[in-house]
Amino acid sequence: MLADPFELHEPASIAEAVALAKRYCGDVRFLAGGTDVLPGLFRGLHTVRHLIYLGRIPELHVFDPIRGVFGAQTSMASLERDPVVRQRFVAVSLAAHAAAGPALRTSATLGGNLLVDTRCTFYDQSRFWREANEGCLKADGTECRVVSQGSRCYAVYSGDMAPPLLALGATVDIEGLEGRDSKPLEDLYSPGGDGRLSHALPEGALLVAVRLRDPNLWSSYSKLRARGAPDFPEGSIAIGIHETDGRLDHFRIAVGGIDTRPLVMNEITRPWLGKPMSDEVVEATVESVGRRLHPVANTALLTDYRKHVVTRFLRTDLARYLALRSKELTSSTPAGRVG
Amino acid sequence: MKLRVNALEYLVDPPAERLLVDLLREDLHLTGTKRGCDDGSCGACTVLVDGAPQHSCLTLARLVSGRDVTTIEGVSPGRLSRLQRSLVETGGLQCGFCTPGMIIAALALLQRGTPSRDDILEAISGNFCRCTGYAKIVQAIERAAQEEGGR
Amino acid sequence: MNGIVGSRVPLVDGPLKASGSALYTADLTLPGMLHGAIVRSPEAHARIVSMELWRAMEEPGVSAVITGDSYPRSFGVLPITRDETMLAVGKVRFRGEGVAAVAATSPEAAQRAARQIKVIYERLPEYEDPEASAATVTEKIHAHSPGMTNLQKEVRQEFGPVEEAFRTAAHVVTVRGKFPGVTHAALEPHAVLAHYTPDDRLTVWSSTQVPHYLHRALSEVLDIPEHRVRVIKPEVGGGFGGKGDPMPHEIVAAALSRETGRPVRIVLSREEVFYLNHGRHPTRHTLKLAADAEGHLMGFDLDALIDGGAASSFGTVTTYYNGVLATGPYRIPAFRYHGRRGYTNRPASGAMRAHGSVNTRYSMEVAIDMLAEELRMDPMALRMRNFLSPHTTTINEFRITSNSVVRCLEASRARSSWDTKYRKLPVGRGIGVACGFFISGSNSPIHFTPPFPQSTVHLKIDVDGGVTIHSGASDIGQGSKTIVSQIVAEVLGIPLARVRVAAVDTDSAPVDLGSYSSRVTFMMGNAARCAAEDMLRQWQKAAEEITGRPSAEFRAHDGRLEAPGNISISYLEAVHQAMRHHGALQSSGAYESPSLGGKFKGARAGTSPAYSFAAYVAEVEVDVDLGRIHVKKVWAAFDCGRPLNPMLVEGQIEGSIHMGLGQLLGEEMRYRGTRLMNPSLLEYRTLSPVEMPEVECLLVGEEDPEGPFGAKEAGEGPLPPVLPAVANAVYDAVGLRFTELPLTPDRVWRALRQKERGGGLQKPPAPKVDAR
Ligand SMILES: Cc1cc2nc3c(=O)[nH]c(=O)nc-3n(C[C@H](O)[C@H](O)[C@H](O)COP(=O)(O)OP(=O)(O)OC[C@H]3O[C@@H](n4cnc5c(N)ncnc54)[C@H](O)[C@@H]3O)c2cc1C
Ligand code: SF4
Ligand code: FES
Ligand code: FES
Repeated sequence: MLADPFELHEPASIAEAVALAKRYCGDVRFLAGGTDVLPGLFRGLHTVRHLIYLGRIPELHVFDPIRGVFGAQTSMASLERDPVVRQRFVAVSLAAHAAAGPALRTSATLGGNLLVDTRCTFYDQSRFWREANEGCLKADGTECRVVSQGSRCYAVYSGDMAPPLLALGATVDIEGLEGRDSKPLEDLYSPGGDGRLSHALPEGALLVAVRLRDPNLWSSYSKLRARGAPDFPEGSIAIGIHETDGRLDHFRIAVGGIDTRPLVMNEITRPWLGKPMSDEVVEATVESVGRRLHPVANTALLTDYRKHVVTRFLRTDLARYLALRSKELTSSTPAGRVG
Repeated sequence: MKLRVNALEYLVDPPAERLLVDLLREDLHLTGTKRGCDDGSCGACTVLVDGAPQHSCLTLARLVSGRDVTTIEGVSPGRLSRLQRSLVETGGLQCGFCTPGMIIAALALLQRGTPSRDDILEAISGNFCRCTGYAKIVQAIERAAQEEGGR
Repeated sequence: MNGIVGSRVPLVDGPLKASGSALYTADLTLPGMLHGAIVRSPEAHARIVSMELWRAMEEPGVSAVITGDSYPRSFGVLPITRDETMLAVGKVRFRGEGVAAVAATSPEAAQRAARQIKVIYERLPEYEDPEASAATVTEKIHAHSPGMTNLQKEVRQEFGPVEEAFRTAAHVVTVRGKFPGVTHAALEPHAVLAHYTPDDRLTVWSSTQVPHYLHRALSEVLDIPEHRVRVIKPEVGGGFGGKGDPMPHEIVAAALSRETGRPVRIVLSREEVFYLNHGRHPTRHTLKLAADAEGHLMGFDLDALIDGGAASSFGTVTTYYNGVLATGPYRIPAFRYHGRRGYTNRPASGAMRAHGSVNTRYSMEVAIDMLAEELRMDPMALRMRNFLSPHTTTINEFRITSNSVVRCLEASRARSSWDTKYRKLPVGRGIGVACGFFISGSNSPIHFTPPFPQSTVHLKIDVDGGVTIHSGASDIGQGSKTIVSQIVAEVLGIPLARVRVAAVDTDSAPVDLGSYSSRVTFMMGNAARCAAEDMLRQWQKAAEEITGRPSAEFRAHDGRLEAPGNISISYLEAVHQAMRHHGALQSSGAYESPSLGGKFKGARAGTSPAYSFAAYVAEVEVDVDLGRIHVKKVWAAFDCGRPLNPMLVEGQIEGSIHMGLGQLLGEEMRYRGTRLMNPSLLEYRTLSPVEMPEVECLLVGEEDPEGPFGAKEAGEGPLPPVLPAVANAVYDAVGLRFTELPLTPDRVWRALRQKERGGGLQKPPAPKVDAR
């Protein structure tokens, strides 16, 4: 395990960070908690000579669960433990809790999690291993090892935080070369569906904060992992729901751990807006979501199983919502599970 | 740069790529912190940084300057703490290689009040032990928690 | 009796370990120390055409670069199968094999230099399947395989009327088992520090289970007389068999030290540990059991094919063990075994906890469950009908002495409320039983001809009154230091704190065959007891000199020597009296194994002065929807004779259950061809604390006549029964037999789904003959 030498920069402001990123363009990476960047460096997955540490920038540490503003440097541990987050954004707190192990969550940040590298058994290996396998499309090779003759990469988006935030309709603040911009979290992920890119943030742009507007949504997060320990998702699903006067005015579903990016199921859920949540909606949704899941064999568990479990989670979580709805519904009811 | 480890100040100048675990073990000769894997998956290297557990194998040494690092050597210098004693007496250690990381992880938990059994399992879920089957580790932490509570 | 033996004494080295002060090999540094790195082959089977070393030599900080050509002598843990070299010579046999090594001023410098070494390979056909290895091949992995095959070992044994048994049996069941390789995954990665000094002596500190084997291998490969080699074992962070062989990197470090004249340390990465492997053999076998209409076993027939990987290691023993360790705990009137071990181009398999017996035990206990169902008998009743008695002989002439398997079965049956649960729990919940049988130390030492004692212990006591124990047995976390201290303190009647165990150092410790095959408590324990008794006699004699009372009257108790009539002197007085004659006192004790076993070929494999027995019950819940097997509780009744330290025995059982369930539910050396897909602790999935079931240990064994204070082994025997106990419980829960491991949730789910399609899940039929 050997990282090539690099230079470590520790800017104190966003402007300074973006300027540094511009100066070393092509040879630079932001370093947040480092729990993804560092293993990547040891394995020679990325070889950059400049790391820009974000931990010294006060603005990135904003943590305001009341207003729903979370700086990129918010630690997973605080998302998991904060009582207000747990009450208002159940799925966010569940997802944070389900990611990695407790000691990792101290360092791991929200920003880093949203932008975490995609994963594949042929890629998350040492330099020695990959060289012995003559590399692959995503790193120093020419062929995909999972899908023969594949012209793209199928590495899996495996961050835990994106699905719940997408289901809750989060937006993100981004500091780019042209200044500050705010956009839906969806836009952070490339629509092209090539696993070589873990996200669609332009190089040098900085994720500043995540914003959640509505604290009154019912939400859930369920994650499939190989065992009850620090394992990446083999499939995960988040749901955000709100009804006013018995009619859906928010209904979003996002799936992680299956595709090269988190999948937002807006085409499936949008038609139901304005209608009441019902068994019919559940059935139709489960059916359609199931059809959009196409995992490939590059993680530990069998693909048909991963697909099965994710749709099963969807069904049980929606059923739970329906059951609660018939009683008096409170947004604080925890939902979801780690299976 | 200045580094505080176990309440002592050190003057060090590690290269950017130096990991905290290597700095502790190789430069400061604090070899109680162990290394069991290449990728953050075993927890043997867990230390406290400002009171929170962290993998020292995924932490750049330079970035802990100005912060408070506690390693196993600093948990209770010279004598065993309640938790450490409990681990020994309950049989919660065998080869002892996971023990320093395990103790640090449990310590971080116990600081937050009296844990449930599930809390304990969760708190050590990132710490790999191949010897004990965890049963006696969990018992030992439970025992220490009760003793702390009844103090 | 002083009550030290038999009590829950915490590990004597516990405080050192809990405070982080215990020193493991990677914690050691010496002045001027260099760091070694090994260049590993990216090819699984290839001729080395050329190596370009100069670039590495020119890297800053590099002091030496070596290749296998200068060190061609082969070694191996078994003297009859030396087929490893410290670095590849001429060709590589598995991906990850060392081809060159570098010593430099820092680990980084060494690794950087290692990366500069360019090797050109010419690929050879790769073998990943032992089936192919047993057939005709175009390229042999090792020249010494018979004919044009890649076979390493073939065993055929037959006792009793096998053909007839299967012809006339009322019931025959067959299990076709398939088991992937699993590995030890001890938390401490292997490490070594070697120092070759100008007085032509070599000192090596290493995380090894058997300093003595390493001692020999170093001497042989490096051509240094044994008396100039010294091996010291610091604390070892777990072994489980993975540190039992002499390993290439240990010899490489010594070679680099000799080349550079400086101490050299090598610490393996976790990935390298996976390539070192020597773990449990991937296995395919067909196991058949025959029984009569009343459920008496009539015959056993096993055909096993095991994947040895690229070296022999303990494989010859493994090949025997796969068969012979199935001759207990049941009476088998007819026994046939055909076992083959093939070389493949994968990291070598070797000995891992419960060596050679796990996979066979699995299929055997599943087969018994199947037989019980055919016979409509409760599986406990069927087992009861077939147990070996104490003080008997197995069909292959193993001498059985103490045997409490009946008590084990009764205890686990009672504690688990078996009678109210078996076939009576709702669908999805189930209960299962399985038994176990394991050696308490291999009776035939690997190396010793002429026969020396298997284990020797020396004691020394000086004016300070502390007793120092010198033994060559390695404490690798199992607590042998504590056990030996307990035994010595018990015999000498002094507090535990007055006893200290010297670090294992081949310069001062008597030769011991180390920590494997569960031999330490039994063999070293007996030696320690003898040594302590010898020491006590010296004290008693001194007491006689002081008091005039006959020495035989003195009992050692509470730090004093007491004789009838209120005569009592402190042990220190006696020690000081005895020391007048020749200074510090010394004593020695040894354990010599009895002569055991039959006269046929391979008869000694599996012979042991005693055997452990076990009967486990497991209760499970199967989440049918998610394919998850939740093991709720395991009742582990174990016969280790008299437990010298119940807390440590429980620790061994709980640890074994963790490891066994890992193999059952998730662990797997996942290969694509010869390529290991998961060389990391994140992807090689052991059980997390969350999945660990509750374990109730039932230590019901009776004292063994030959064990120290009646003890037998508890280090390996506790592992095998848990896998089939759970598998049988799963069958009780959902009516599905699994004979291919591991039972990961996706595979379980697939099987369940197929079963549901074929008519739904249901409870298997209830027995007509209940457990009594
Ligand atoms: C053993 C192990 C288990 C794990 N298990 C899980 C798991 O179960 N679930 C899971 O989701 N993850 C898991 N992870 C991955 C990782 O720990 C988390 O995803 C973590 O949240 C990443 O955050 P970080 O702050 O450490 O990111 P870093 O490693 O610092 O950064 C990750 C990426 O984001 C970029 N980046 C970070 N912040 C910004 C910013 N503000 N603007 C622009 N770019 C930025 C970095 O340049 C880098 O490309 C695991 C990791 C390990 C080692
Ligand atoms: S999916 Fe294919 S291209 Fe992408 S990382 Fe895996 S092997 Fe490489
Ligand atoms: S060494 Fe840090 S997690 Fe394993
Ligand atoms: S005691 Fe050995 S790894 Fe935990």
